[in-house]
Amino acid sequence: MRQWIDACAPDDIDTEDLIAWEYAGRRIAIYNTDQGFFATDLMCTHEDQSLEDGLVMDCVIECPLHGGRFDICTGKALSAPASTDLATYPVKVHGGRVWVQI
Amino acid sequence: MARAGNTLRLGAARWINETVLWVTSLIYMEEPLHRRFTHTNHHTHTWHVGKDSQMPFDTPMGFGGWLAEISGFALLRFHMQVFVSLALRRYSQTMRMVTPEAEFPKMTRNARIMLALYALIALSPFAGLWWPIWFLAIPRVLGAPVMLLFTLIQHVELQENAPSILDSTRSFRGHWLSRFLYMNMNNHVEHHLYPNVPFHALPKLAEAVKDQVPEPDPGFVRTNWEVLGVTLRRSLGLPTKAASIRQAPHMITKGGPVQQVAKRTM
Ligand code: FES
Repeated sequence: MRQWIDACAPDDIDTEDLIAWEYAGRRIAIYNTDQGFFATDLMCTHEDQSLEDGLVMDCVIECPLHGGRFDICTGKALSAPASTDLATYPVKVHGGRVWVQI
Repeated sequence: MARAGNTLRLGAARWINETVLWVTSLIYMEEPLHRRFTHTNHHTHTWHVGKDSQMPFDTPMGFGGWLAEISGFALLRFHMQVFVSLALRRYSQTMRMVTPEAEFPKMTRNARIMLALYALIALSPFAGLWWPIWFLAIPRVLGAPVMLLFTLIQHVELQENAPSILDSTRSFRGHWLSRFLYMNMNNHVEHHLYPNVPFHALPKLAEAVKDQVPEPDPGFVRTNWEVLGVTLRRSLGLPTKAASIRQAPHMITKGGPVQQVAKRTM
């Protein structure tokens, strides 16, 4: 059963940035974008690389290792060498906190 | 050029990047996605034996290896084997190690299309057309040896399995012509340290980090000349210390038999 987990405060993530967050052994990236907060798997789907140091541009994250890009809202792989989509997680801001559904 | 194209970046530049990859792959005669994924793997596991899928020669290199590499025959044979394997849907262990599963059908399709194109080009003289032959033959005969001399000195004589790029990779000084032909990839340490930096910004990056990386080796001609000397002496069982280029400690011997460290993976 999926449940909402209290992840962080909205201020913990700069605008156009992300943080790495771990819950129950799962490594998740939480993003703060112009379009709101989003969450995806933290590891790139191409090779074994965390997206934590990647560049966030609008609603796109660029992997720091080979420059593969993903749509943050949908997880869709946008450009090579990334070709497999990222898993995404529902996010809501409630009571002054960011919640992720896992 | 293709190597720089592989790593060219930023929004609008992506379509140029893709076009360069496909056009140069047609001339270079390698299936483009195979080239992409082996190259990204090379950046992740640079010069690590058993992991780097773009080690083009055995190390330490002898004169036979030098000749096979610079003539381009070894590489051409490898690329043809890759085409045939992909076309027949036979994916090697290395391909499986570096390629996302979903890409294989595309690679098979590309290999079949490209093989058909090469067959058409081979038949074109029968239709009185020679230019398609020159389109492939001129770069292969005139361009490949020069390109291979450039790519040879990126890692040759340096340390396998090194945790630091500084020990496995070589930058060398560039005359304006070699910098132009090689699209600034003579700053190869810097390229491996920050592969997302576009080729035109590499000289600036090299300037910014020059106090933290080894001195570049001498220019293209001198570095290659010294490498050739080392490989010849190694094959003759003579001492292998080069005059000025960087060498990993185990590459420098007083002569005698050579213990192989890495087998070529391409
Ligand atoms: S590891 Fe992310 S693009 Fe290669």
